[in-house]
Formats: sequence, structure tokens, C-alpha cells
Amino acid sequence: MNTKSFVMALALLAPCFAGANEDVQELIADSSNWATWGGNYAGTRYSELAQIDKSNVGRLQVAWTFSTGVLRGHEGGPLVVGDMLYIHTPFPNKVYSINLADQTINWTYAPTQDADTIPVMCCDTVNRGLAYGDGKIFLQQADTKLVALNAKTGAVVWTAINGDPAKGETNTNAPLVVKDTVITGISGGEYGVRGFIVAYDIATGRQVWKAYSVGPDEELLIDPERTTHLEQPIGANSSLSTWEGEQWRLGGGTTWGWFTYDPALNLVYYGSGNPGTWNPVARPGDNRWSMTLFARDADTGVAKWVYQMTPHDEWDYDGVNENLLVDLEVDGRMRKALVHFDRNGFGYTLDRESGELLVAEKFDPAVNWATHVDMRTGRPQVVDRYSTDENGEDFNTEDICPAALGSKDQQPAAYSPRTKLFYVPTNHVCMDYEPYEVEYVAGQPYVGAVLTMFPAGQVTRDGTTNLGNFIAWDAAEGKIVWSNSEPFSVWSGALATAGDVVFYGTLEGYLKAVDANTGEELYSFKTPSGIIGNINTWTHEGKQYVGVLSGIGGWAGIGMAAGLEGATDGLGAVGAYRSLSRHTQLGGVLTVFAIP
Amino acid sequence: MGLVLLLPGITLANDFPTQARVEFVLGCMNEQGGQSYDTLYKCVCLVDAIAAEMSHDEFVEAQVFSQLRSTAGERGGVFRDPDQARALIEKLEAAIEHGKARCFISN
Repeated sequence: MNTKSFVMALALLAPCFAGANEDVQELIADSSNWATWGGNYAGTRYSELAQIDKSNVGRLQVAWTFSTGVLRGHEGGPLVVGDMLYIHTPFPNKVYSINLADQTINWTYAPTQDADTIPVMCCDTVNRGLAYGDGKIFLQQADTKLVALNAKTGAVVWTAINGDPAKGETNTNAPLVVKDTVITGISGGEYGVRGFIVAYDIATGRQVWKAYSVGPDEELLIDPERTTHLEQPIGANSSLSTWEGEQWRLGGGTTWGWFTYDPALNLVYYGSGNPGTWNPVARPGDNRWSMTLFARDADTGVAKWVYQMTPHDEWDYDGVNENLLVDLEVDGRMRKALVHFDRNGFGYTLDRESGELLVAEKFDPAVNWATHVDMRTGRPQVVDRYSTDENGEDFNTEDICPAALGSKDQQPAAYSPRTKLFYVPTNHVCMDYEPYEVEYVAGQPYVGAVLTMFPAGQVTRDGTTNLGNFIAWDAAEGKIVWSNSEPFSVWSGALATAGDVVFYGTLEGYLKAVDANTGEELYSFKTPSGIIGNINTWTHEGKQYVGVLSGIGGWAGIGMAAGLEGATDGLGAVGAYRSLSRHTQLGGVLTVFAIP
Repeated sequence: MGLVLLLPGITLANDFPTQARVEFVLGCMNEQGGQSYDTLYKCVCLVDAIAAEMSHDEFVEAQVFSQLRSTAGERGGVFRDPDQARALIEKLEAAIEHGKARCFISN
């Protein structure tokens, strides 16, 4: 079947009624809700709420807490729809529906998942959250099962199996409701998984379309004549021709990040992860379309444009970070822009309609693996001494900035239309990287590189030891406006509000509020554990609340043992928080703040 | 070198906030066998001893490094590898050891 008839067939299969999408858009438009991971489809994580502002944020107090009963890393954040809050946990991916009126549990969904899933999750057993639409809550479980729950009762409405953990396929991402579909991706980039994005019918869970990141055109849902790369048709076999032999079958390009959606253009945006093994010598070629931004038609899945940021990756700079959809004036012209802070250290601004590259600048001055991005070809200009491919197998390439976790990982940035600034949680970490030969075994790690990480100051020799920064970025100019030094990498998603306050969390467990214009710290509170969740805001009975999950392996409450050597891994929290047990569970904690 | 970089800020700040002291004492009492005056006195003594040897910021950073060094995968490297991680953890371990000796804590 050629691409065109394939697309036609998909169009005929698509459901002909509308509903869920309008429902979600209405909920998003009312800022008393936090109805989708990014606060809105554009992923700006901006709220119109302004009760909490620069003048009073210093008076915030903890209003209530909810302990999830699950240890380990808590990513994502709560959804709020009307009087109900929905919160998820890491593996085994419980979901709680909480009445905002009295913080009692309305229902709990507690799936049983095969524990064999845990060892094939590369980077902790996180889950980045839920989606709401059509009266349902959608959970993408670690074992790849996508579950639709009745939002009122928690009853399972349908399930869909999205992959196979025995092959290293798992899930960590938050799904996104778009029109009458639920969109989700796949994790497993460290296990030779071939990445894809899928749309499931919101009513039944039936697969509507599925598009791979690497492989033959018909499986990529690419039209060689109409799909573009930097405004040029990409031509036939655009992916296959950039891999040796059958290597694309283990090609990576997983899709574990965030999805955003532009209803006017009807395009879904996301990025793909690292190609196959981390050893670049073993996979010659550009390895398309790993490390690539995709714009796909929401109805058919067909790609309108793609842009590969890091051809032939040599450093694990996954391209999965979120894409913020914002209208910006760039070079004197209003653009429907897409802004993306990539792991590779470049902040990209593209025209989200055409895929034209407008700005590509470093958002951490320490970035050294490439001098710049060639704006005509879109290719980063790689510096030979930092090329792990050039230096070859079993050679330790030193002082590469950023490290493999990137100048920024998945934790989503925020954008305020009032300041026109992007607020970005970043890593300030460099690495030594030594690739080695590795054989593929299904369900086993397929990495093939040894890494050492250290503060970027060790490379820039400026005497600093901080491992992170929280920055404000001008995406039209490609410039840092202000930068707050943080002792640790910032792994929490930011929130910007109409009160001109920006919130973010730290690995020490601090929730911080800063002035949106200057970055000046206005408030800080230490939650029970490190924050790698996203900060969300909503109102209940007219009052504004701010909530964030904390929880990352170790717990502050374990007192003098402090997790030293052999880490009791948070078990101490059982004792320290016993008194909270009436309304709460033990484990990771959702902390909710308000002005008294 | 990492250690030298950390030391210039050293003042015996005794700047642990109330919340940090309470949290520490509750956890410590739990570990020492539960809530009683016996464990309360030991744990209050210990947190005061630690606060006299390091700033609260140093204490918190040392805790993060020590708790997260066992993080799986590539992310863990950023807690295991930096020079300041070892220096801060050693400083915390020393403060706890000195404190235990002064506070009749044997385990």
C-alpha cells in the first residue's frame, strides 16, 4: 500500500463525531482547572490566576498534603477538573481521585503490574502523569498498558496494550487527549526499542494510527513529496538510507517526552529520542529520524514536517523535550512559533506551521560539543575533539558539555505572555564519554558507553561547582535574560502565572517562587523530599492553590542515617510521617500551598 | 580541591531552621527506638552538634548527594561523580560521628 492510499484508509476509519476535544478545550480555557499536563495544549504551563502575586507569595503556607504511599521518583503533577484532583504515582502507577473540598479519597485505581517491568526501566520507575477527556482519566502504565478510567468512579472503561516489556518496551509519558483520540508514545531507548507514537480511539481504545520514528516510509507515516525537512520535501526512504543494513530495526527514536497540540493547525508536536546503541561507531549515518522534532496531522498521523536536531548522535542527546507553542515576533515578523530546549544545549525556535528554523542558540554558555547550528542546513557544527565517533571505541573523550542528561531533560519549561520570557530548568553538567562495542539482546540494556559526570565549572574553569541553573530565555533573540545558579540540576517542571511569579522545585526539596522579571527569590519551602515533579495551580471555591509532588528515592525524614552508605531509601519516612496517616498514605508527597 | 572550594563559606552559622531540626529529631528518635525523653535528649543534642559544624545549606546538599548516589542509570552519575559530593558527604559523616560521641549515641 502506498502512503496516499494508506492515509486515505486511515481517514475512512477515523471516527466522525466530535466532542472530547471541545470538552478539554473548554476545561483548559477556565483557569480554575489544570486539565492537561501543560495547563493548555500549547504546553506553556502558564496560568491566568493572579491571586498569588509578587507582593504576597512570600506569605504562602502549606494548606494540605497527600502522601502517595509509593516510594521512588515522582514526576508529573496533579490534574484538577472541577472539584476533583487526580494524582498518579510511580510504578505500580496508582491513581487517586481526591475531593478538593475535604481532601478525602474519592476513588483509587491500583493496578497489578508484573515486577519484571522494573528492571527494564532505564531511569527510575517514573510516570509523568494523567490525561483527562470525555469523562475519563487516562493512565499510561509502565508495562505499556494504556488505561481509560471513568473519572467519576475509577472503573476501567477500556485498556490497550502499547508494547512488550520483554523487548524492553515500557512507558513513562503522560498521554494527551486530542480530538477523539488519546495519543501516547513508548520508552526503551536504552534497549534497542524502535520508537513510535500511537493514537487510540477515546471511546473504545482501538488504534487509529501509529507512526514510527525510524524505518520504511509507510511505517513512518511520511509522504516523501509533501513531508518537509527545513521546508524541502524529504524524498523517498529518508530514514532507511541513513542506516546501515537492517540497523534501523533497533533504531531507537523512542517517544517518552511530552506532546503538545495546535488546534488551529491540527498538528501534534513531539520529539524522538536517541538512535539505537550509544556507541556511534556501530551505526554510521545520520540515523534519521532519531533526535527529531515531528509535526503530525492529528487525524491521520502523517508528518507535515520534521527537523533532526542532532544527526548521528554521539552523546545521547535525546530530542524528546517539550515543544512550547507560542506566537512570537522574530526578526520583526509575527510567527506561529515552536520553542524547544533540547538536551543538546541549543534552544530552538521554529515556525510551527512550516518547520522553518528561525533561532538556534546555546541556552547554557558551557555547551561545547558544537560551535553553532548552520541555519541553512540545520546541522550542528560538531567540534572534532568532542566527537566520540571521531575518537572511536574504547577512547575516553573528555570534558564534553553538556553531559548525556543534556543541558535540560524532560522537565518542562514555562512561558509567560506578560514577560514574553521562557523559564527553563537546566543542568550545568559535563562528562567524559567512552563508547564500547555491544551486542543486542532483547530486553537487555543496549547502551555501549561509559560516562563520568561533573560540574560544568570544571570545564569552563570559572571556579563554580553548581550542577544546575534556572534561567529566563528570550526565544526571539536566542538569549539568556537572567540565570539563577542552583547547587543541583533542576529536574522539576516550571509554572508561570499572571501574578508575575514563576515557580520551580529543586532536588533538595525546595519549592521556590521567583520574580518573573528579575529571577529574585521571593519564597522557598522545604518539602519532604527532592522535587522532580511539575508545579501546577488551580482554584477551589475561588481560592488559588499551588501543588507539587516531591519524592525521589531518598527522604529527608530519615534523620541522622541520612541515607549514608547503603541508603535506607526512604523507609524512614514511615516513622517520620506516621502522624499524617489519617487522610494520607505513606511515600511521595503532594504538597499544596495557599495564602492564608 | 573540591573541599577547599567548599570551605570559604564556613562559618559556624548554627542556621538550621526549626522545621529542619524538628524533622531531624523526629527521624532520629524513630531510629533510636521511638519517642521518649531518652531519645529526645540524644537527638536534640545530635542535631545541635551537626548544626554547629556545618551550615544548613551544606547539610541539605550533603543529604541530596548521599541519598541519590544510588540512583539508577545515567542520572545517578551526576550524584556519584562530582568532587563536591564526596567532600560534603565526608563532612556530614564527620559531624555525625563527632555528635554521636558527645551525645551518648552508640549506634
